[in-house]
Amino acid sequence: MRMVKGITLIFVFLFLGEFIAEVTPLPIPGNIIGMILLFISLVFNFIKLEEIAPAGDLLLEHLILYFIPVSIGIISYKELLRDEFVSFSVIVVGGFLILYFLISKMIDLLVCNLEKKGS
Amino acid sequence: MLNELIQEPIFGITLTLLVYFLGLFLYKKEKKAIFHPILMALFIIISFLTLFDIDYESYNNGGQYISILLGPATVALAIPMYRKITLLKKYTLLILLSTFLSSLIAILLTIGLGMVFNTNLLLLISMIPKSVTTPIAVGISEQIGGEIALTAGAVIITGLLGGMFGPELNRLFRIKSTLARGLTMGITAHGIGTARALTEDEQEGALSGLAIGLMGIFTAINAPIVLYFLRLIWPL
Repeated sequence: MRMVKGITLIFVFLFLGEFIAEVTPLPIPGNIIGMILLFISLVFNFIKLEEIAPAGDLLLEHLILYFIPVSIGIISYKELLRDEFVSFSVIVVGGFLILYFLISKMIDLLVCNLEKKGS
Repeated sequence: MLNELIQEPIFGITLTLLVYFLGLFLYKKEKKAIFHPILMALFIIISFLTLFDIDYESYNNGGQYISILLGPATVALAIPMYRKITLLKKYTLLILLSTFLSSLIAILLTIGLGMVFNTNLLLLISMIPKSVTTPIAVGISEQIGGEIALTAGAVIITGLLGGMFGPELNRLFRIKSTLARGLTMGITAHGIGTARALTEDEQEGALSGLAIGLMGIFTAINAPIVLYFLRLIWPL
């Protein structure tokens, strides 16, 4: 019963998010609007964590499973990836390394400036 | 006979579940990013489909029923975020500012590199949300006109890179603060990076987990805006 309630709540939020994405010009995907709405509802205690956590945790435990079929779709892009192999690898691998460097250094600086001034 | 069965949704669903189960089993024995269940699953299913000359559409007749769960799973991501609310309250400005700026840097860096390498446009757009957790990245990719399969591929490789090399990069770049280490991992390498961060330090893992959701939200907001302005001056 608790599980059913949790799953229902999650789908209600998903539907609400999709609805808002549909009727407003917001360029944000509906599922993310649903996530933001659920987060706000938890913060303001409209929904209690115990009501939704069992269903949500079960759903998230196997997150990897849900994106297997989407990922397999790359077999339809063999030619594109072959042609763009160099730029794809450089952007993914090189991009990751550059991004990691920039962001870790940036946050390190922010920590020094924001947190050490006696917060 | 067999051809008809392959068209049935039950084929794609069973194949995916079987391979996922096998991947989890192997990962439990060898806890290394290279044995990550997603890599095993991709390798086995792609080999299987290629070997028996089965096209993606047939497989996805069943696969799509599993993909549907990406929507509710994204909504559920609010739960682990809410669990770390005390951490968020303690470092509100730092965490929000870091994730917001990071999402902008990530978007601009990918587009910049794509321009330098004259990357195919569809591929470039698909790679923009590559640091974001898969369910959110897929949503963003659809929104900005990318191809979700290419996005998922880039996201998974990025996560695995973080899972394999993140802590080593912290040492190489001399990043000492737990805040910077944890947040960077979640921002750059989403869930797969977070799994590694958790093995390094509990606080680092918590920060990394918190950064996943925020990075997703900010990228979802920033990517369409950045693209809108870029398109005014560049035929993207």
